[in-house]
Amino acid sequence: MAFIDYYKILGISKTASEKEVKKAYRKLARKYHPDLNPNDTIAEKKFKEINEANEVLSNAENRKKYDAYGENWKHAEEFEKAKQQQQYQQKSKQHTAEQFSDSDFSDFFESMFGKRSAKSYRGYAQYRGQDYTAELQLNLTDVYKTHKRTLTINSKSIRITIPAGITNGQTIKIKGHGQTGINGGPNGDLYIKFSITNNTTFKRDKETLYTTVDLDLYKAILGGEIIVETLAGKVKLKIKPETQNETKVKLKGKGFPVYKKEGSFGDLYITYKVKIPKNLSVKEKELFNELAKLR
Amino acid sequence: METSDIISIKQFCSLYNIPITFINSLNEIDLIEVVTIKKTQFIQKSHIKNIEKLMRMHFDLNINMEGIDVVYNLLQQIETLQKENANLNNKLKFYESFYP
Repeated sequence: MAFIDYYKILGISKTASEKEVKKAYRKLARKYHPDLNPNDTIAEKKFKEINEANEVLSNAENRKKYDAYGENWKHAEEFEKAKQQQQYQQKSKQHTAEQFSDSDFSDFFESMFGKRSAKSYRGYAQYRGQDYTAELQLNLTDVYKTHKRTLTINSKSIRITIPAGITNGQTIKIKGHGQTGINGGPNGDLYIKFSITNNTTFKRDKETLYTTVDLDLYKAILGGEIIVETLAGKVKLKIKPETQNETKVKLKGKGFPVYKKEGSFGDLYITYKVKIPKNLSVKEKELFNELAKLR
Repeated sequence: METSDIISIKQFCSLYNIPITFINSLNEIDLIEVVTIKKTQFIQKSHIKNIEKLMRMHFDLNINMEGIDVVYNLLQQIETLQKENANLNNKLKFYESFYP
């Protein structure tokens, strides 16, 4: 656990007045506040640091303790004992960080100041907890079927259902899994943004899938059957005689699941690529010549 | 509108310990919608999350009403652009996949 220089975080000197601390905090908070930087995890992290620094430096008692023991934080417990002996009267000060829970403070902070128990500056008003955001990376095949997954968010494990058919960049809300509400207020929500990597050969446009299938010349001309891979498994397809290159066929219901419509699937479009044989033998060339003469 | 969907401004301000003038100011600049039923003013519970965000901007970040109006509208524009960007990214990836 490393020492945290709260003065450096707020960009102020150790002699800064209470007013200067407040001013520096407000300036940085306006820049990095999560409400003003939605879905920006770097800003969120930065804001937590600023918030923690303010929590310490805007409170005279905390600041005194930090200044005395900051770099030697391991001796902070001795300070606590001495403080109790002197029956030090704790004074609550106003602060502006009510939307963060204990878990939003660093180990360094908690080792020095314990679990946070300060009041909101709006007294005991009930207050909704902050929303959390997280990004979940999945493969396309992972979202082909609705499934459950356990995630760890802020050291808490939650089990969520990931609906089939979710798209890349889509966000879902998990109600009540954000920060715990203040003074009995409702919990915030958890927003999970999905980043989906296509690990298949199919091209996807929402619930419609596209793929190309190689067709040998003879099957394209004479017709026949081929086996095609789909996400739902192998499918046998009939090839009509004289099938042209770039012919498209639609396999109804063999595409991707429709989001939040259980059992409903999009279509799969197959484009045939007719392959011209290479390295023809003498005999084959003769036969093609004969065919050419017939045309 | 169901009465369970709304909360009186007086009750809301009392719960959150904020002045009623704050809600009135938000209403004046059209950032929130106030419903009046039998001379009592209400807000929709579904709007509370949004109002809390505006409260944080004002009380925590010391942004005045005009500033909140500007910031809030810009945030909405960002959200719209982010959604549009995600859609366009998906479309771009889709078309790019045809020309590897």
